[in-house]
Amino acid sequence: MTGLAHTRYVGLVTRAIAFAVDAAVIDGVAVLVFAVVALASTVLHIPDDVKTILLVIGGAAYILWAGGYFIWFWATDGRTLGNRVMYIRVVPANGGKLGYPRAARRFVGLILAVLPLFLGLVGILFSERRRGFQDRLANTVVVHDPERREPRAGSGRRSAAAAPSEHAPAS
Amino acid sequence: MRLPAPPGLGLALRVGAQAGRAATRTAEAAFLMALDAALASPVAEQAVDRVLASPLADRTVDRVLASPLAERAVDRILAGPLMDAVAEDLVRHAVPQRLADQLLEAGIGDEIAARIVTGPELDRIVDTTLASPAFARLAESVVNSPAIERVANEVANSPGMERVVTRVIESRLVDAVVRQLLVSDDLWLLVSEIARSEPVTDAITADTLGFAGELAAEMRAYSRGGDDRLERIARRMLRRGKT
Repeated sequence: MTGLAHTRYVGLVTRAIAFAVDAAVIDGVAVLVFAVVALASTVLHIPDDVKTILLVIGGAAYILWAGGYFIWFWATDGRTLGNRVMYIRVVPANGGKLGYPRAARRFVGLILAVLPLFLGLVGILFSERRRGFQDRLANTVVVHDPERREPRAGSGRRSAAAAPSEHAPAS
Repeated sequence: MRLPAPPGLGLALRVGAQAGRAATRTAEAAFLMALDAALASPVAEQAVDRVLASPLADRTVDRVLASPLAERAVDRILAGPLMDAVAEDLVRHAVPQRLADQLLEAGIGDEIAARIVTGPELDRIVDTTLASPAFARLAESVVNSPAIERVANEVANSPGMERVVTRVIESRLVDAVVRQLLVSDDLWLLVSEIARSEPVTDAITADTLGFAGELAAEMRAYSRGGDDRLERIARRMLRRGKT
């Protein structure tokens, strides 16, 4: 945590926008794949039972695709595509590397935080480091990308000094 | 055996010699007087005219001019101080200026200029000049000179040029040209080629990405402000709920 002493943590609005971008990418790819499969199914004669199985497989594939998207981006770079757009990054709260296990734990935490009517995200509004349930579960924080911090982003009562080179995100 | 000289012979000889010299001087003087009289007479002039008009005079002049003597004489004249003296006299008496004035007054200059302009020599001179490296150096130095740039700027920014451009734009010629261009297939072919060219597509892509980047930057700026505002609202509501 010492390495993040002067870090400006990311709030709920920015994270929501980044998540919306990620959702658009995930759903866009999923819709494209579903359209291709649906068009193919109109040409081929597929029994109803097989169609049901295909729907189940498609649902599982969607969950795997969405989970893999978040876990892979968080584990490798700390930034999903939405995070890249918003110049934010997920890093371990105590430094070090995020890794796949912690990224998977964070994804599970995200689902658990959303399920009870998003109550798990309330902590972002009130906690000192703007951490939601998924952050506490995986011991992570979401910070503004120090390499891309913009000069206009000057407000913030939680940032002592916006020094980009103060810390290197553990990606 | 030597005979003794008769007495008075020496004196006679001296007297005789003096008398001979006196007679010679007298004869010379008489000859010169006669010559002056002959030269002063119209007969002499007529004689000279006849000699000059005679075929003999022509042949003699031709022989003299064709002889090595004439060449040697001309050579000596050119190499000698005479030419320097002549040149000095020419300059002192402003002979070239007077000659040039007379030539210009007589229209010789105009004829020479017309001959140069209409003749093939001018084309050869222009071709040779344009092909020479010296002309390329000269042209480069002229084009790159600050004076030319200054003059071009003054001309381009002058009110006169502005009036000319305005008249050209407002003229019917421009309207006609534009109408012709708009109905020309070649124009639209050219526009199509330009639109498909790599620099144009790159520029459009860069502009699009730049616009998307600016949009994302604005969104980031507003979202960061939104983070703080949302938290202030949430905390205020929490405090009110506690009270």
